[in-house]
Amino acid sequence: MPDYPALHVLAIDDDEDTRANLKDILELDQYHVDTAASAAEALDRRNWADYAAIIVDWRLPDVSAAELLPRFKDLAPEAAVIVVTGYADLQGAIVALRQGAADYILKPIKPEELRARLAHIAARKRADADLREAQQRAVQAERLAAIGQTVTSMAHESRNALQRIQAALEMLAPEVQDRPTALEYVADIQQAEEGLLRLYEQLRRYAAPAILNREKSHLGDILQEAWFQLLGMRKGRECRLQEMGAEIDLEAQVDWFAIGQVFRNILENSLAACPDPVEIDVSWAETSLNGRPAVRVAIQDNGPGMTAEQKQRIFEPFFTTKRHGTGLGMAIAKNIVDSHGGQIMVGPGRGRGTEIVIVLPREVP
Amino acid sequence: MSHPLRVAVADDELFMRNYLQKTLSLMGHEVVAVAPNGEELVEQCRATNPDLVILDVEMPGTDGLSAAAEIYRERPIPIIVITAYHSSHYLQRARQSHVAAYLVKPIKRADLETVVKRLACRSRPAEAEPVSLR
Repeated sequence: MPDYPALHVLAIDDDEDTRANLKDILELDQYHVDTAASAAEALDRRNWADYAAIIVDWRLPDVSAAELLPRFKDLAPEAAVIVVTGYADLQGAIVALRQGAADYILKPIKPEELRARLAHIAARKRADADLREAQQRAVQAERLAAIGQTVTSMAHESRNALQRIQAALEMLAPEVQDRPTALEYVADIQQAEEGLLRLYEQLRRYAAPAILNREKSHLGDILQEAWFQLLGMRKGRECRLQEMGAEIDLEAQVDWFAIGQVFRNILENSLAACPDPVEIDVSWAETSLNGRPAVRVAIQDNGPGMTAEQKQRIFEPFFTTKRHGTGLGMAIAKNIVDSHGGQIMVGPGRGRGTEIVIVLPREVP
Repeated sequence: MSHPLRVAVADDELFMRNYLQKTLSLMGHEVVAVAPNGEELVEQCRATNPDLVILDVEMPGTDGLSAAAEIYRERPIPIIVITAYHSSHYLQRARQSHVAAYLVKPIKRADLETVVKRLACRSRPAEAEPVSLR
């Protein structure tokens, strides 16, 4: 059963040989098998949510399976129940099916028959899981599209309002030129307006469908340009960016602007997090991704690093550790890298500091 | 400062018309036409022969881009669009309408000054790439 996690099965039978037998048979097919000798022992278990299937003897010594079936429905609603009965007790099998059992099997248990029944159940579970996942993906895509539309129209309306604020501020400033406190308020409003504009801009980029214009580009050049664009942020600070492994072939088919944005967002975070002197090490390496040639770049800074929680949540939208951040920078970076068929993750790094690792395939698939 | 230009502006918002008029005057230019919509702007451009046109995209009736195309057809002068629309669709249309600069709201006086200066220096007819400042 490649790619799917092993299904958990619970086998309840008072006969020790039968339990051992069931375990042997099912483990052949890589099921994960738990056993119980009685209803009481079974009901004592705490991992009911794990079970995909329950195999239960119709005649248990303590409680009848007829009484157990409704309990299973509560404890493990997702589990398929297979009742084991003797020829003499076909009536029991019919009752079991009426009570919601998925199947019944006659004693003596024929291994092939049991395996076939379980394989059928496993296939159905996988199909259900696939369907659920596809539905979730569709819902997610729909939600993003709806957010995108809302953001676009909101940003549009807001731009008109921001323009009025901007224009009014410019006309107000000369009127209050001789009043320093009033001028400070003007500057405050101006700053707030610019912050709001940045937020809209980031939201728009986050929610907009990524339309990539992928052309053969030199990743090292893109990085250097991103670093150059951050000149304003670096002004008056002691910063250095050092590249290693840049002698390898750094050509890849990527969207120059989008990947530049990814580098910018990462470097911007480093500049915000690191005290002077800021030291950023970039190492380039050849690698492969899903069997295709790819370039790996690791960007390591000498800042305070991240906590385990921060590492886990860094790519979530609206997650930020900065006082003035929108929390979209890394979410945007992930969107862009994902849409290139690449990967972005937090690296192990060395010492303190944060390491972000990106793997980009060289060619468009 | 670049030499004074004769400018025509159009915006459906009175507030923006006043702002543009005031700002351009402060920059040393002469506002020769002020229109609340595309049709009136086209009319006034015929009457005043401005050196430069600054207009909004969303206006009632003839929208800014259609007006821009018409003005350019009659006299190829630099046209600056100021709009809240930030989409490649509009940028594409602006390019086809011979718009010389595409500014996305909110713009600052300094943004406008830079673009006007650049267009003023350029020999006409201006056929330039639209730019987005922010």
